[in-house]
Amino acid sequence: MLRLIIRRLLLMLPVIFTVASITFFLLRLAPGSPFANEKAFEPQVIAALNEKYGLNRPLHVQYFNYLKQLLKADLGPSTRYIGRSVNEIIAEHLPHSIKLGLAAYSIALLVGLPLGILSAVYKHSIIDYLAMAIAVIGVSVPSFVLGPTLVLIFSLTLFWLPPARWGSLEHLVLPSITLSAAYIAYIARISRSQMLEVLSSDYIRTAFAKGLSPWTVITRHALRGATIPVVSFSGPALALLLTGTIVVERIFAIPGLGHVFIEAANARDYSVVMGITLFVSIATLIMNLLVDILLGILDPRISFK
Amino acid sequence: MQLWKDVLKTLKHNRLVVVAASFLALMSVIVTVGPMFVSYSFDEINLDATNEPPSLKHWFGTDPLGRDIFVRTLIGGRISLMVGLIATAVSFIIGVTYGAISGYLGGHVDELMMRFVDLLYSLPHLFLVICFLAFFSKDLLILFVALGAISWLTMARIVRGQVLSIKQQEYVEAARACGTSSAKIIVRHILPNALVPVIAYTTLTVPSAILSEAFLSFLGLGVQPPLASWGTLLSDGIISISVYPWQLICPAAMMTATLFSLNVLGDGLIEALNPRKR
Repeated sequence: MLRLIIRRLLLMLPVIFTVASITFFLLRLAPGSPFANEKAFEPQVIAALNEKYGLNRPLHVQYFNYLKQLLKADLGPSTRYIGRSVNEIIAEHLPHSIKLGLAAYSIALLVGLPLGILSAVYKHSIIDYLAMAIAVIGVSVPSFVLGPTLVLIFSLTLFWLPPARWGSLEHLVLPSITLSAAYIAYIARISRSQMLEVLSSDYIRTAFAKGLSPWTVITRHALRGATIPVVSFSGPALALLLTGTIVVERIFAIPGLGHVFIEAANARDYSVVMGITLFVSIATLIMNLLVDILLGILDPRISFK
Repeated sequence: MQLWKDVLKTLKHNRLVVVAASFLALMSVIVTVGPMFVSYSFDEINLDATNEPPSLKHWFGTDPLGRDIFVRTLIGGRISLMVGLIATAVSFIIGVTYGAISGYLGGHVDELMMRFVDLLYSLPHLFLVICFLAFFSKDLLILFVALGAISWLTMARIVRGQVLSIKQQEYVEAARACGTSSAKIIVRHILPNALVPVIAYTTLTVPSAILSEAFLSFLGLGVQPPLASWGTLLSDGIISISVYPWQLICPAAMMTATLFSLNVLGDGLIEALNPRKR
């Protein structure tokens, strides 16, 4: 197991290297510099800034310096907020996104899983049709339609919840529901089709033949098999959650990582954009690894390759 | 093709699919020819008629610049559907070619080609697309290519898996024994049979590409004004949601209905193509 984990960690290196290289060259080859648009800066100031951040050196020197820096887990200084490092910026804004993401994914599991399982157990019943309608609607209504609609109903008409901003638990409700909708749909679909498969397998028939009650068969025998693909979905789900938060954070004015990313991209804050992109890909890789380890524990038949 | 006749028959029995397909057909026609019959153009500014509610004159009302939202929704739909179709076509061409070659050649080449796909798979795509659009130009063409370039990976994997299993079938062996060239075997014998599951996946690529475009336009990185797409209309509509809600609701309803129909159609196809569920 340990050897395999180390192997997987080593396999991550080329991915991280590729992301770092792509972002580096993409951003450096782009027209415009982080300081060129600032009218307030005099040429001497810009020259000094370029000197300070090493932007006047040859491209390959900058590239190797950047890679060297990365080896020390240092994402460099921000070119927009002078005196702040990218590490600091990520550390400050990430907790908001994590809070939002965790809340959304918990809602998705709590709603999606029972929905999918019930619709498989009561196949072709009203519950099934209702659940599948919810699943299709969930993927068809984009978060930037759902979010404002919820705001319109619950904040501007009923005055139950705050329409935007961040801080208390009340502020978390609408954004996390908005973000969770698509995941409810995915999870309901995945668990339904897996549950259907499990229910038609031999060991379930055996369990029924022993005379167990349907409830016992489902909770004790079928459930475990049905949740496995949901666990493996959790890895890619993290990557999707992170992109999803970009929009949701914008709708509800939440100071999370996605919000900072868009701001940085529009302001040509090279190092912040590169840093966040890199951070997201590393986080996704680690999450996928954790999910695979968990899968190996849940289902001994899945060999950890 | 007996298979396609069967699929069509199964689809016709699914009432929801028939409704969805009819809606999409109607939508495509309206979006293409509709703007010609409306007496306003999508960028016609009329400052004497700003923020008007829906009426007979302006079916969906007007926006803060007095532009007719109905025409803008149609033009937006045209662009959104075009993005969806072109991105899907790009991903189909690249994905099928790549997957077929990889699967057919097999061995080390296959291993190498699939490692490359794995590598691309683990990149944070949307983040890279956002970098690209933000730093270079917000050109519509870049958007098409970028969205197509994201979705070919899954397509390539599906095709490769299919080709790997089909190439061991006896009829392929027979063709090879007759001296048929590799290219001809791929095009004539393997691809037609491998494409069945790909078609279903392709149908579902269209809504996901439309969604990605709307996502980018919503963030101000996609289609640029005065041109409109569903994403930009929604992002404009949100600003005045408390005062003029129809500016958001009308385009949102159109977009949701279209995405819903596309998803229903894709799901219906998958179900119809799955012999176990038929």
